[in-house]
Amino acid sequence: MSEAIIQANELSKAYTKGGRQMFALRRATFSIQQGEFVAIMGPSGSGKSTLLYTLGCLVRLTGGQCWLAGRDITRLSERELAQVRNRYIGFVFQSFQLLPTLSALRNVELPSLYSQQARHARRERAQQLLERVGLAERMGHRPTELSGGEAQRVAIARALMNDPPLILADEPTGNLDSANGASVMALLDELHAEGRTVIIVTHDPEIAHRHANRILYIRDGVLE
Amino acid sequence: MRLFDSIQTALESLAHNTLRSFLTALGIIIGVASVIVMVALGTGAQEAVQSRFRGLGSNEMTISQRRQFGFGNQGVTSKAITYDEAVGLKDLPQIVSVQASLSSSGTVVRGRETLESTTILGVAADWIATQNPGYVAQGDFFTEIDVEDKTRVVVIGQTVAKQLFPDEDPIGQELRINRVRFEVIGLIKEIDVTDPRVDPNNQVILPIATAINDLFGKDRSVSVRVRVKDEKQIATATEAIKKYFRQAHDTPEDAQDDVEVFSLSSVTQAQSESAQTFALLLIGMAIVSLAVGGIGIMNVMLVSVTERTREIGVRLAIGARQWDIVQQFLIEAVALSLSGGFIGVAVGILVIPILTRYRPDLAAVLTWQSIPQAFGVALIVGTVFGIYPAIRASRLDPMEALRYE
Repeated sequence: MSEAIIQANELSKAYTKGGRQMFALRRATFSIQQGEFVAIMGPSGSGKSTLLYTLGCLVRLTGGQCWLAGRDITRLSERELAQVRNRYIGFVFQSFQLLPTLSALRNVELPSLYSQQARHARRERAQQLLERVGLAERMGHRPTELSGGEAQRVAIARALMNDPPLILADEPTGNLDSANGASVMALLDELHAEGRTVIIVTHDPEIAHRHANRILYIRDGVLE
Repeated sequence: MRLFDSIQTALESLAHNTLRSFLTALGIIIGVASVIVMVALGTGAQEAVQSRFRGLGSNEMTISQRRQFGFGNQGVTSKAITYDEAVGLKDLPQIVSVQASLSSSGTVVRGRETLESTTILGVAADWIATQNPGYVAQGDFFTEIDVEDKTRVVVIGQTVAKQLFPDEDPIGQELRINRVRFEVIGLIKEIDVTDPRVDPNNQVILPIATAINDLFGKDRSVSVRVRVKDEKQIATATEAIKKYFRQAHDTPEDAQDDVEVFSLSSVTQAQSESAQTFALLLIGMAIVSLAVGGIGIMNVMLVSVTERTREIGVRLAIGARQWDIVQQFLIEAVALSLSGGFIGVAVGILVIPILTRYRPDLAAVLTWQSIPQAFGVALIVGTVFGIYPAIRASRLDPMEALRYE
């Protein structure tokens, strides 16, 4: 563990509901080192997903500063944020979020469409990734033809398409049975072992303790 | 995202929902097809008018009996122009020459052979001078003496000759028009057919005095074509002609003229005015129908944006810029409206021959310029009505979009 990939300083995200100001995130200060496996835990509505999406450059903060790979993401333009999401971050979601009209292969290719890779190069890379997650035989299948475990492995392959250093996973095993959940977590472990930083949001203390180097607890938007 | 990838993505998404895409484009299809057909009808009508007045020189005028249309007093209430009155126009100082004619449609018979809808044209002997040399292919045209003596002679067209005298020389033979016997003295050369509805070779030409005396009677009004010395005299000649007929017909001061005088300038002016009105009407219709089509596209695109909220969230999360999302949805809208335009043009091109087959009186001429114009308009409609849904899609909050159920 060397330098910090994420340095967060008093992150705040406020919103108004019924005329009252509420905080999804309140003055969260922390740092995450490159190559760490961090779990974010907390009760429902505590702000753990907001924190994850903030690190994923999908939430505009109302206060604080956040450096990601040396850049203050609170000062980046929409276009620059899109580039950061595309190059530095791989997302894995609880409900997989594959596009239903596209085949597994085309789903995996998707991030490269926005980084303008050559056609044959991205096809080759997507095929390698699907082989890596054990779905070489399922490349042409649509998401509706895949099991939950297979769909999540396609989603992980998609997250790896542009070879990002940071993987953000929001309840990646939440929709899976324990066997499939275990294989997905094993994949995330592999990515961690390769030197990538992995941050997951989870409800499950067993997963957090078994896989993560460190656990961040959050309650009512405040890190404990 | 590369443009090629955007186009591929948009087309795939449209192809995924073929029926919906087709129904969405239907408004554009109908709009474009009707514009193509209307332009064709307008052009056809204009060409028909032009062909009627083609050959009318700029120093020539036509005079005809005024016709009145309206409720209660339909038909002709004005006095007819007689042949003698027409000839008398020569005495007006502005007028160089007068050409009176009388034309009608009738049945021509020889023995058991009958030919219907034949044009029967009564003219003076000098009419032949207005035609190209070689107009009479065989035999002769009639002379002034024939006109004075009201001789029963005719010059016939090729169709008449072929029908009534299939294998013989028609010259010197007899035929009957409305039971009156005439001798054929000349045969007109084959005339090219320019309007499929009218066979110019199905005609007989006879001395105008004979036509009045034996076929039409004195009450039939003749049409008159006069020539003035030069164009500048058209206006004064028009006044003089009107005055001449008011005197000849003892028209009361408060009554309208019995005659109508046309010159090329009055015809072209009226024609360009009606063409302008028609063009405005067409533009109005095109705007309405294409706006309806465009609103259809906008509606479906808005529904599509809502349905695909999660897709938009995913695309933003994996690195799409807002512009990529705008581009994707805009291309979908434009592709919808362009394919609507394409089908619309095809439908229009197919409808025109069907229309003219069942309604031959409607002249429709397809103008090729209207096709790129239709595509251009479809492109604009797609862009204008696609931009709002596309911008709305790109402004979605990615986190909200990902959690959208």
